[in-house]
Amino acid sequence: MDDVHRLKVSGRYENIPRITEFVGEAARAAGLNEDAIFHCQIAVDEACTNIVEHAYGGNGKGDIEVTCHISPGKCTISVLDTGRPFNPDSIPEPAPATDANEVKPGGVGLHLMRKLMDEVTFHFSDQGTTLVMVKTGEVRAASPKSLTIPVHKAAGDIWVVTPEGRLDADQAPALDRTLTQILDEGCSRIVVDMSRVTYISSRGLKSLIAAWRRADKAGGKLVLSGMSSRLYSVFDMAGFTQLFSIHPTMDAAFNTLGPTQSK
Amino acid sequence: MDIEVKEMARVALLTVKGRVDSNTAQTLGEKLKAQINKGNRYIVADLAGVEYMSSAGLRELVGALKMVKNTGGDVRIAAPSDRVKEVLDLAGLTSVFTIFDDAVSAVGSF
Repeated sequence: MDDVHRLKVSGRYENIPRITEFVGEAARAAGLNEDAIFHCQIAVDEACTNIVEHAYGGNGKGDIEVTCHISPGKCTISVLDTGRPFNPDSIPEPAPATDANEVKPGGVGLHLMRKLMDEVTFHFSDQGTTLVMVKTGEVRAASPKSLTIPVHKAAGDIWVVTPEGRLDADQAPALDRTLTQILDEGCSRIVVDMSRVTYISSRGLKSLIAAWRRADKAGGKLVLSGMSSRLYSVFDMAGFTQLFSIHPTMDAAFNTLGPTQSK
Repeated sequence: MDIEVKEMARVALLTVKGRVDSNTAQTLGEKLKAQINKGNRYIVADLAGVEYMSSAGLRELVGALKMVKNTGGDVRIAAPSDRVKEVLDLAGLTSVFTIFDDAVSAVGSF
């Protein structure tokens, strides 16, 4: 059965942080990842801002009731107001602009809601307007996220970093910290052992690129080893197989990093 | 939200921190307008410390941009986070603003 969370507040701009926090907690409880949680928060922020501004036509003119139904991987957010109804189809889609003067005011909030959420529907009745927004996503691993990533120093001043599991927005900051720490210490010959990584998002790729750049600048090298063919295809699609030196085994990775083999 | 304003020889640098939403965006709009009214038309909004921005914040930045564009000025954005970039992008505003990796290069671009 769905878990239901409810919050009723006065429709005031200053209550919006409270609403986004409430929705963020519900989305997190549904197991959604940080990106999806953020999307739910912006969407409900835009919805409530529109309610205060347009439906009620001012601060503190009526209540907003937010209900979140959560189940694993799915957060359904309902927002009820008793203000003026409107026709969602009459709100024009903002056109992408290249010049400030082309930017028309209005419609951006609704547009963001539709872009960020999987479903956005409005229901009008005598009781008021109910907006229903649905966000679904892959459920995060239930295991507590490891905030430290194993590191060891191999022969010849080569550092080996071994991330595990999903390299996504949740885990990438930990990888950033680990790599930054190594680079800050002046070590720039690094192998990232990808053999235990099951998934990489663009955020994860970004961490690796940032560290690769720093290592390169410092005259060193960051190489990757042991990634699965599925992971390789992500690098390939992103066009990063040219940038990174990718090796099937640790030994091959060590060989590219230099001649030092002293134990 | 917290805004620090630094007026340099040619450029006004607004360092914005915290959360920019419909509750705080008005203050951002007022600070921008105050600079423009003083005759500063080269403006940098340093967003490195902004972890959250809704369309209300974007609206103020676009409003300021429109005001200075007509007099040959510009509002340039420095160091937006991935979150802020995503919202800018979805709002279709990425090509309206010139975006820089950090405040120094944004200020130097004028």
